Amino acid sequence: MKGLGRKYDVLLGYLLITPVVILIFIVIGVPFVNAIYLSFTDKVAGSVPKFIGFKNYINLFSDPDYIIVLKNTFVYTFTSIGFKLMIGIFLAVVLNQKFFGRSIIRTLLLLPWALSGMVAAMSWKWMYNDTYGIINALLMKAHIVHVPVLWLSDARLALISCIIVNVWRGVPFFFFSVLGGLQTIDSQMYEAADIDGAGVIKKFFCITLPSLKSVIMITTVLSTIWTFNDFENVFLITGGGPLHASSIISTYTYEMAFLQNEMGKAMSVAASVIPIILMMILIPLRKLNKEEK
Amino acid sequence: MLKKSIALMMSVLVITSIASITSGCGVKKADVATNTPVKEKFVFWDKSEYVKAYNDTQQQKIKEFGEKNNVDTEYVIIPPSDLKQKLTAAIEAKNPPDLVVTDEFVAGQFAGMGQLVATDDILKQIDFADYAKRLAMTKGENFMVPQALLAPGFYLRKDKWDAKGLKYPETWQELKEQAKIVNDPKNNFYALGLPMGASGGGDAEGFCRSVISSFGGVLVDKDSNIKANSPQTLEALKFISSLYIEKLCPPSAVTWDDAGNNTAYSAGTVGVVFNSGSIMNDIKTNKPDINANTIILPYPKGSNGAFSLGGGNVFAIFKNGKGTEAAKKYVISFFEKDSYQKIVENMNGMWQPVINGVDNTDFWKKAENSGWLANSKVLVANSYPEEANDFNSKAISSQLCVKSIQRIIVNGMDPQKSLDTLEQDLKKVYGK
Repeated sequence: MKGLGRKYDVLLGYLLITPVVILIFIVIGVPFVNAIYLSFTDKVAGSVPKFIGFKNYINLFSDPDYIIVLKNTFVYTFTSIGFKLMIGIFLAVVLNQKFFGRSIIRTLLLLPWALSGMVAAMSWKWMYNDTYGIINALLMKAHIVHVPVLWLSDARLALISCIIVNVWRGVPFFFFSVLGGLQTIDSQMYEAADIDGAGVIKKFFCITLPSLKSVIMITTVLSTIWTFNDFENVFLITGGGPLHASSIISTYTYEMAFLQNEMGKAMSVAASVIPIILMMILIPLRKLNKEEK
Repeated sequence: MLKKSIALMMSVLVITSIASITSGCGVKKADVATNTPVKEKFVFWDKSEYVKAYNDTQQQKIKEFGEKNNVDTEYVIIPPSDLKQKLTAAIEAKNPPDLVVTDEFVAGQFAGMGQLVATDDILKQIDFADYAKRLAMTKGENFMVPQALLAPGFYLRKDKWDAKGLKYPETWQELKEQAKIVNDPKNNFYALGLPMGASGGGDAEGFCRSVISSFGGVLVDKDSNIKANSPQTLEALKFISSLYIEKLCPPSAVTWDDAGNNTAYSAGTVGVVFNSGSIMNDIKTNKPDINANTIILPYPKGSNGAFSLGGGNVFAIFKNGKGTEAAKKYVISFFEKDSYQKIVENMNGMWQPVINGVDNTDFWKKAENSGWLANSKVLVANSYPEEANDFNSKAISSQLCVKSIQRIIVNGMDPQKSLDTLEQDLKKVYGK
């Protein structure tokens, strides 16, 4: 009798999740499978796709622009994440201390995250401008530079300029996540360390960082995925230019699909990084699960 | 007992939900049709123009057209730089608009993709000027309807030139030499404001092709043979890139879109631009001091003479649209003589007419407007000397010449190597 009830519960469970599974399959699964299929075709807008096997992928890996874009994507993602992590932890540790005006600073630090991506990107684009941008005006007034810095049109600086904006926008996410983690650490651990004579640095590396490990891991994984797939920041600031100097996978995919009208190739660009994204998600999560066990 | 009741209720809910969703898919069109008569819908995506009055007028005309013909209308204004992407997505979603207004080389690409209806029947009913008819044609067939010509002008700040006692330039070389004298980057003033960003607009590519043609270079000849790799084209590429390398243009111009030169000229930070009447229209209203110090000159000459390459706005009707007939009817009504003349003149010279009999008015006799009109009549197609087709439409909208200049300026590539790449890119587009 008990066994029958259990079977009934399991069946009911499956029945209840069926609509959601169907919905997810229709909304996410079908377009995903279709996109993968299109990456093996010569699809252009308005045409019937013709299967061409791995031709798009072969062309892709021999395309010097794609190699530049892939490199840019890694530089953009990992440099941004590195800075966001360091600055976020630093600010969280500082703002976890009690001092006058702490709440105001915490609120102000949330602003870049709260601003719409469009507003942030357009504001920075204006600030970077070499003719009337405020950054160059200040640098020149302070006699740090004598000619305007070409933040957006110098191939060596365009990607860095985009990274700066991404870091500026992303730091609050790290800051607030780490701050939340810091507030769960038992203060007795620090008191015990004080008694043992541990200094600030030793306490940070032996108590704070290990206690924040899971928070940092989850925050980093999430932010890495978002940064890797970022589009609006780069697209609105430099459009990927000049000459793909700041182009990343998402902007390059857009360019292929909608400017060059090479849908099949665009799909292969997008699909080519799926294994990388999966690794970025699975490896840290697996590590985290193992540690929890 | 309670658990069982909840489970039973949930099961019924789930099953009825699924049943209702799936049964909804089976409703026949006829069932709906018997209840509510279906009105034809006409969707029009228009270019957002620099002169707001144009879009306002068009919106009003569409509304009146809908009321008169018992058609539901939808008028959408789209920035030119976004139109191609939106159209590509709409075609892929099998939901294109019925009618669009865009640059002729953008429409030409969609014609090449087999997306547009032939327009011979419309063209027969309207008295188009001979020099405007080429805008309708791609691969020898008519797939577009010319709306207006957009002749570019050579804008020069005469106060800056007069202050240095310089005679206005007649050749490209003179322009460059004089630009060196007028250039004053320390005071935030550059002699030239020439956009060179690969943002999808037509200004930069049109400028490059004008210079290449006047230096005697030919990218693709009349018979569609690729002839880009010539000493003349190489000279032109070297000349254009030198304007940036020698800092006669603002360095950020390599990322400017089509609005970049408008903004810079109106802000008074550059002395020369090549642009349609959009800037003139803006400075007349908002910058009278700059307007008073502006002169529109004939295009500079090269060793092969002066070439003013350009095109215009066209109507394009999508064959997979649902209101194709309404679109055709609307386009014909748009060219009602008095109304068309008023719309064109409201553009303050930025547009030049494409039909006969509307350019002999007082408006076009004024000195400030007559130059634009004269220029529009000798305008050379962007694809010169080849006839417009889907290949050169793609080459133009892919901005291959702009990219060749960018490689020299941004990456420091050798001009000959960049020209070799340009030739390869053209061969790729032409499938050769």
